[in-house]
Amino acid sequence: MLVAALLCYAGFGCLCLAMERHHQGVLGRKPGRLLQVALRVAAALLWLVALAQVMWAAGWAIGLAQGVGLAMASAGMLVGLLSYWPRLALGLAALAIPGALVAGLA
Amino acid sequence: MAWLHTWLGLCFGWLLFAIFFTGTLSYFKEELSHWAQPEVPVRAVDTRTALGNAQAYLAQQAAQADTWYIMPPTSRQAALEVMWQAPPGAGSRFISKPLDPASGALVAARDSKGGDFFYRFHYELELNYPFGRWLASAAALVMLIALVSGIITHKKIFKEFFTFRPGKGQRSWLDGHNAVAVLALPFHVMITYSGLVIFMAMLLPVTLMTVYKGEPAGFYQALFPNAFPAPAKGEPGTLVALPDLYDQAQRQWPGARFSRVEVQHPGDQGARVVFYRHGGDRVAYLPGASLAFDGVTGQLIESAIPGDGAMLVAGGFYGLHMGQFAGPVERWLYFVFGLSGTAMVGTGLVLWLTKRQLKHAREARPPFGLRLVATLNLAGMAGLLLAVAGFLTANRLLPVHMVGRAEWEVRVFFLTWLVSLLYAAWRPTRQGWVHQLSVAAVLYAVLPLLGMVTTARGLPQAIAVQDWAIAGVDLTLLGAACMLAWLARKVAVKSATRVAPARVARVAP
Amino acid sequence: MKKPLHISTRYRLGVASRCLAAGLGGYALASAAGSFIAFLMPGTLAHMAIGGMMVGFIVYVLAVIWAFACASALRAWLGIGGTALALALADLGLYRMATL
Repeated sequence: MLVAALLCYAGFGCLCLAMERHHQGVLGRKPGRLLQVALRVAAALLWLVALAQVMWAAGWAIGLAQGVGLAMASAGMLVGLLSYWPRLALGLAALAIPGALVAGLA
Repeated sequence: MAWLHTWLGLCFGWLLFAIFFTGTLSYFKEELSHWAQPEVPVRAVDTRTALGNAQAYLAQQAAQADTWYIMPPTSRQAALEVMWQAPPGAGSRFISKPLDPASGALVAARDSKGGDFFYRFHYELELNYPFGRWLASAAALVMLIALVSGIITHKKIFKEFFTFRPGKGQRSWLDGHNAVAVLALPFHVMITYSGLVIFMAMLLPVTLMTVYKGEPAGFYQALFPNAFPAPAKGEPGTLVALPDLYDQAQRQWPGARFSRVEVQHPGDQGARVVFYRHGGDRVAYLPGASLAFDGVTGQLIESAIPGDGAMLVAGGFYGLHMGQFAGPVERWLYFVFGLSGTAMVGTGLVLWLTKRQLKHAREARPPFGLRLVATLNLAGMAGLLLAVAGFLTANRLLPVHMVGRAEWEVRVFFLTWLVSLLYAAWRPTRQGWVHQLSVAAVLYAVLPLLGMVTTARGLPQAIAVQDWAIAGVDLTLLGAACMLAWLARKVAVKSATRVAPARVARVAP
Repeated sequence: MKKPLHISTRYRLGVASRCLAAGLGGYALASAAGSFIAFLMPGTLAHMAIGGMMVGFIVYVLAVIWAFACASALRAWLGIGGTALALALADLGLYRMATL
């Protein structure tokens, strides 16, 4: 579940960065249209991989329940962190992808 | 739509807060029950031995009963529980006893409803059958409508996603309300709809009657194929040893857990033994899944797994609501999402009040309606937290062998709530919140200490023997105490630096 | 902000009317729709009943939303009542056919 959780968190981080308001808030400039689309696609891919991983590990039914649960939890974490420490929140999202790889290989 | 959402939310908010909170606690009802009855010994789970001991006890104590119910211990439920129908004229319909699973001896545990009180409360509200269920179901329907109307109102959902601005008064309450609602929206919709599905036969009987042409018995037989045995034959018969049947059941369904063993017509030639599969073996909860054996010969009669198509979907909703399949991580996730739902309702109630308080800020006396809502908000939220603390405190302080102890714990719950209501009526202000939250914080912090003094398994002992159920509850109580203390402080600080009413909040979308 | 405008009795009656249409009419519609959907469901009687009831709740929610979203209380009654009546008649017909 850790792998899926990290991937979900990274996915929401991408989605967040795709929004003008937060992109500007953290990186100081507005994202271009192409970058916005790319980030949204990246988010979708990360979620799909997370869901696939957890459904493969725990069976389709329990995996689906876990996947949706982890998605909601990671979104909540991101919003919580974003409100007080936005750079930390998105920095963690960037680290989450290699983190997921490490957790998956361990 | 905003109008509908606001008024439905207000009228049913206090009830929904109580239902959500007690429902959230119910995800740990086994742990709470164990905390409430620390005398029950925790043994390594050995279902075979437990069943043998149960059979011996019941053969002695309940030989005349028509049906025996045996609930074997699991990793989350320490006691071996046996139950049988009380003879007519006794107080309740069933007699239930906790046994030591290893020895079969009766455990002298304090009489308490434990976590089951919160579980039953959240769908029956401690009201007579069927009124409590109908009221809770009405609340669930209103909740679902409030969710849909809330979504329609908040059309700019994606533009405002991830936006939470703390510390800005009324705008923060709105952001908080939106955040907890949207972030766990799949959970909220699922839990509300599934709650209705669980009671569907009671709520929409017309459909049931139409399909079954006025005779719905067939419906229950389809759902619970092994629950309706033929009547007893009237000739004596020796009941086969339950542990042997358990071995057979394990051969039929390798690795299965069983939550209940029913012995129908024990001691009769027509005896049957039904093993009910534990709901946690899969996501979908189909309580009729069971193996039926002939009680005298030990032969397998029927293997029933009702569930495909619409039945599986309904079972899926039931299972998602109950969360029996959940392991420790998933269970804590359920708890967090449940709290988020509770917070969603709570922030909504506070939002309703603060918006209108700002409108009437320049008046000397607030209108009666506002004062009423302020009172009910305080009593409904802080009061409920106090009531729960009262219940748990009563469990720790009432004499262990007191008669009617379990009922008294429930009375203390409601008496505490009543005291909170009276105080809230007298002081529905921010100060009242500070007082009630502070008292709650103190009570929650003291509870683990009481456990150390009045039970043999306080927090240090529980950790020492790795009884994580009791330790977990005590630690969570301490955590709750810290949170309540922090909340009380925030409200107190806010009162001291009141924002001038001239700073009118923006109009909500 | 000064005292709000006087809320007319007509408005209050309209709201009350919509509440009744939504609450009672909605329940009738949900029951009728549930029975109708049940007849369309495949599987055994239990499957039909379960499918119908599950859809019934969704119909109830939609009916309540509609009762407060449509243009007038009268529309709410006509829409919900009319649909409920139509479905009830269809149910009666299907019930008769099933018992033949």
